[in-house]
Amino acid sequence: MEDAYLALSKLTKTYPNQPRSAVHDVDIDVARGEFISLLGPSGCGKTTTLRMIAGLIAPTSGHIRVGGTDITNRPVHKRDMGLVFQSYALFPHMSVGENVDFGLQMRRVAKSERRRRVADALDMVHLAHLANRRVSQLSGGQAQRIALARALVVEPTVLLLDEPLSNLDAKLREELRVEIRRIQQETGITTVFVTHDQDEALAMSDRLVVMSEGRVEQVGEPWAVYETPENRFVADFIGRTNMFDGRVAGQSDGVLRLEVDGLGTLSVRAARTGGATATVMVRPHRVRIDPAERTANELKGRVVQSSYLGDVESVVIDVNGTRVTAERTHSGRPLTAGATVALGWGDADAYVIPQ
Amino acid sequence: MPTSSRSSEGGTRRAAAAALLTPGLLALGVSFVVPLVWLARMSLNRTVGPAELQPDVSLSSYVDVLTDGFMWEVAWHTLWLGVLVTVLAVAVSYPIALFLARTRSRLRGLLMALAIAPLLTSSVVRTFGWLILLSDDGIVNSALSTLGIIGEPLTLTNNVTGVVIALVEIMMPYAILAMIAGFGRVSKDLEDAAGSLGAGRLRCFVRITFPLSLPGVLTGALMVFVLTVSAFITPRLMGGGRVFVIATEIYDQATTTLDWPRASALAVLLLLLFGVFLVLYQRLFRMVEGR
Repeated sequence: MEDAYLALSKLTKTYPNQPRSAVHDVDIDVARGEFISLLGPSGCGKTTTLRMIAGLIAPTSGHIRVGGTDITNRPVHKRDMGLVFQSYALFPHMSVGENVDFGLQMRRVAKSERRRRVADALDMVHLAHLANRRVSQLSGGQAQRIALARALVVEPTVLLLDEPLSNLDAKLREELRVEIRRIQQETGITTVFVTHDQDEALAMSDRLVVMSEGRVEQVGEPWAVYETPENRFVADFIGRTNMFDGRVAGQSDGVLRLEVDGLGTLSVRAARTGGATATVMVRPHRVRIDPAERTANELKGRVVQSSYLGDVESVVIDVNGTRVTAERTHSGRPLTAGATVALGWGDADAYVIPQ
Repeated sequence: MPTSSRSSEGGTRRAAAAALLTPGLLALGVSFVVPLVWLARMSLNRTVGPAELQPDVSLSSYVDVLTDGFMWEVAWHTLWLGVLVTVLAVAVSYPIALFLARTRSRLRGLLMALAIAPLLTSSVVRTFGWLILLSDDGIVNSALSTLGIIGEPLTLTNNVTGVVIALVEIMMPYAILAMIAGFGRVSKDLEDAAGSLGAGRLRCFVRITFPLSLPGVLTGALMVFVLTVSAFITPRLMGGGRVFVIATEIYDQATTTLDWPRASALAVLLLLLFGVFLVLYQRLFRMVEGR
């Protein structure tokens, strides 16, 4: 990316006595003002990457640039980055106001300006009334808002969020998710957000970076990563999905025909594929149960299990030994195991995963 | 009936707790409370002649002790020794304790064991060890004179210098253990957060690590102070009979002068001194931990 503000190039971290790099040749470009999420299972290297950006871990090789300046070897306290931790990391021996003031003190900002900026930062997170509280008197959600105010009050170049919502309960998490995104957009700060929660990543980010085993698997806008995953890992990790391996039986008019054991021939809209085999994926909510109209792919199966979740019903169906998961928005009584159902999906509902 | 079953359950638990506490409380009572009461009672008796005491309830021993100028000197000396050894032992142990509390090295267990290994030998043995090291022709003096740093051997034994050196070393394991236990609030995340906010290593230590480690420092200091002020063996052996502290004075009064009421009164006064420091410690602890 030409207008990259934060640029990671060939970033690698290897630990002695460990065969696999924790982070391997990671290239990520983040535009100014962009909100980017590093998403992956635990141990995928996302936190290590974030800590390398922050300057808390020294990379084995590779470079980190901010605004064109190479900061790879700059110590953490000279990097000018805002950091928010999963553990909040508020200083327990200082009041809320003193916590927010700390970074300004370190920068030797004049006292009158400090007072104004602390007040503004607390206003931004709607917690101005807590300035004199002790840190131990804060709830988790308040603590994380204060941590955010503390990180942003110094106007850092980049905001780094390390699983900031993971210690909060579900309702609060959703609330704070919206708030973080609002503040990020108001301040226009370039943000890197680390999470293992794909809902958070999908909802908050301009772009996602999906990582696995120290490598970048895919970079893209949330919808693009969800709809058009580049490989099996991404397809499997983001959202729930059905994946079928098959032999290419023919291709015409942009429709690929695929022989899949148990399911027969499936039709899927796809650009030309070179190989003799292909993997097709169908998201469960695109599989229709007892469809009213005819579809390109029509199957019959037996219900193995149905999970009633209120807004949707998730149904596992056995089709000649192959399991297909379908979701239907609910209308009445859920299906019972053993029932025979028809199912189908259109050729545009499926997607061929590039090999 | 749920209420009655709950209360009988509570009764069982109380009985179990009492059963578990009894052996410890009994041991404490027999070995600590009874002698203490006996000691307090003894201090109220009156000495009528050499090694001759008369049962009484009088404060004459206390009056004797508190009006004796030499006793005040000894008390002042003891306090001063306690403060000096506490400051030195805590200062030397602090970096070790901080390192042990935070290292994630696989050698941590071994290093911990090494740090507290001196507790495996008695302080008599360790004091004799220091006597050998610090004597006029010991390793320290011969090394310094071989290097040409000193001409005459330094007098490091049979005086306060030797007592301080030996006591500091003997107290270090206690200080290290107590401080590690009190360093719970020092965390890597807090230091990382301070770093990201622009604090260099020194400012991070001054503003974050040190204030958060104060509860540990206080606990370590109290531990060392109490042990030093009541130390008998090291001042006695290392001081060569020339260093007078309250503990050695109690011993002399009890075994040489055979003035038991006076020895008991001294012991009770020392106990009161500990009480004062314990209250002081709790005040300070609440202050550093409170916010």
